[in-house]
Amino acid sequence: MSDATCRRPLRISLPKGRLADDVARHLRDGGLEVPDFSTSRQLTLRTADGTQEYIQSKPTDVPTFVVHGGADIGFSGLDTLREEGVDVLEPFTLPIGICRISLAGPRAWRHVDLHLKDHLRVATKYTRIASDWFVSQGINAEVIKLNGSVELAPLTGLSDLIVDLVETGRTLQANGLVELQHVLDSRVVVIVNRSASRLRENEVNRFLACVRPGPPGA
Amino acid sequence: MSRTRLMNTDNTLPAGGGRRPEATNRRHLPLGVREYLWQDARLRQQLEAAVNRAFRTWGYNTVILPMFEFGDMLTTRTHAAAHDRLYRFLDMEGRTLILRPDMTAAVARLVGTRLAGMEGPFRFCYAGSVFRHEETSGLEYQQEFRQAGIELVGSADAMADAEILACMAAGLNACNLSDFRIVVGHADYYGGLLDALDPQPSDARQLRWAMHRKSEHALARFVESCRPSPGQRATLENLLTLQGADVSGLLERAAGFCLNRRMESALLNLRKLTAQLDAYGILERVTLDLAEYRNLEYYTGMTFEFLLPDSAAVAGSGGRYDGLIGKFGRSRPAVGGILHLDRLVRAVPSNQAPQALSPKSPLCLVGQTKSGVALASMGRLRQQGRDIVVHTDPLSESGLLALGRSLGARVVAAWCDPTQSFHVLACPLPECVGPMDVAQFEQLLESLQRTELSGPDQSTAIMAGGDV
Repeated sequence: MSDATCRRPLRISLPKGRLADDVARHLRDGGLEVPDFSTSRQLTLRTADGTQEYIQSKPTDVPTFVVHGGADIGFSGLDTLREEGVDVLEPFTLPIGICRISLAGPRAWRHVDLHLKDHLRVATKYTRIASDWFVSQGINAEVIKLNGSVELAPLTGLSDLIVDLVETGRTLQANGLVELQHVLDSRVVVIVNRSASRLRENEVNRFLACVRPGPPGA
Repeated sequence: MSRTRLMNTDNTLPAGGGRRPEATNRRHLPLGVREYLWQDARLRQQLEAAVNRAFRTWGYNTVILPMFEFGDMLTTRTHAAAHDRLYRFLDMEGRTLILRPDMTAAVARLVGTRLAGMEGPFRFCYAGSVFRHEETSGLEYQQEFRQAGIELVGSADAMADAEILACMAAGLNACNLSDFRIVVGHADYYGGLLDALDPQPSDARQLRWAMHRKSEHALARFVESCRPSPGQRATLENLLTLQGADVSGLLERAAGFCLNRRMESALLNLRKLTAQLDAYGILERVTLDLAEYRNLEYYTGMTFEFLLPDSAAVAGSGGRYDGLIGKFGRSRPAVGGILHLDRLVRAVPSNQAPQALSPKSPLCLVGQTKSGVALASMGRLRQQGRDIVVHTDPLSESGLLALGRSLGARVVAAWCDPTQSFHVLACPLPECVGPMDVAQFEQLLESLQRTELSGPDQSTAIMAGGDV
């Protein structure tokens, strides 16, 4: 009965870019009808029965849409979610978009005890994740924000080390860098707006049931 | 999120952060406080009045509480969440003062000390601002919160819990915001679970996180590290499913997962509560959530949140806090809750239209006058609720008409000293334009409807009950 009071279809926020295809495939595998954004210039697309509306945005904006209720459900990388630090529900993860965030640097840093450095400079796109991790490890570090090509920072003397997304490690290798420490395991996580989980309980649960991955090995 | 509002149209100046000329904050507000203009101000005032009127009809007595108190009043344990978010300052003797972060502690202090000798129960209602440095959770950044709340002191019965919920529901109904949901949890269900598991502090943190984020992943990690018995494992694995609008089914299912008396007593309490909510006719608005984590040092029983449609922020919250008053003096059980008036303002449907604010139009504009006869006449009209603006500067007839048009005044008049009469310059009834003696003028204005009911003030629907 709670769902009857809502005025618009359930809105789902999908990320553009790296994760877009995997997420769409996962939804279709779950029997959901996902509109194809590549053939449309519209930013919102509804399913034929009008019960769901999909929106596509920059991956970093997905948590923002969901926390403010602009979307009820979203698909985000765990890395993005932790970096944005927003207060949403995260019922389960999906076995897609698997990667890790690591501390990396020139080979010579492999045997350096970072606790014994007075002034460590670290460049990253993930300033919140990096700062929190350094605090949790008891390491003093100055975190410098970069928006891309983070590997450039140690090469140019901008920073000593970097914290960055690693998928295969080839980009690091090509720039003479090695992984030093593991910071965060990332994969796609389903996020839900707190209020929507109550106010549209039935719709949200029906949708989540379609998306929930089976038990491992099933 | 930009923490500085750019007021300057010269966009070559930095919006913030950079070194800027002195006194750049003179024209800005600090982040997290709000000002309300015209209709919005009136609307918030009316919502506050409507909510308080509803509370008073349930026998709740208004209490006015101080804006700041000694810092010792709040202990770290009871206000762990708020403790590092307090606005602190010093008095003349160097003692720490705090701006109130909530009203409940002040009510508890008052009841525990001044009313220690009186038998209860007591019912209190209040409205006012509370202050917290609110770390942004991405949802919104607010530091001054306007709250209206109630506290029922002296009853440990589930009936008291139900009364608080029903009374707060009445408060929302009085604002025409009747499409709410109430999410109800219980501190003893989670507390009993913790008793049974007795986890390491870091594991307990993991469990709290799992419950707060409803994360199966985090819960699985907790189960892995705390190695529960088979019975405990069943409870944990089902914990996140113990929520929903099917209240009786949920309570029945949850009974199968109780690990000790404390969890059982939570369910017993919730059964009594929900039966009473059914009697109040609001059970259909309730969602139960037994995996709702709350501050256990503060809440000792039922806890709740009110949600409004299409609004991500909670409209109200509260719960039972039987341990708090005893910290100030004679111990008593108590339960209470607050509504966030700022959020109610935004939830009022008519307030969501893209409409610019404007000042309320007066019924009548009268030109500058020193006449005691004229001022007394207008005084009588004001007592009848007619609002009249007297212009304070000299102005020609055409100037007065133009001003009347821009204010939206329905009647524009000038006082004529030689004839001791009003001269009506503009009026919805064309035959009334012209000279008019005092009695005729008063009759004319009394015959015109209050602008309150016909003017552009969009918030009038809430004003059904009269005074503010």
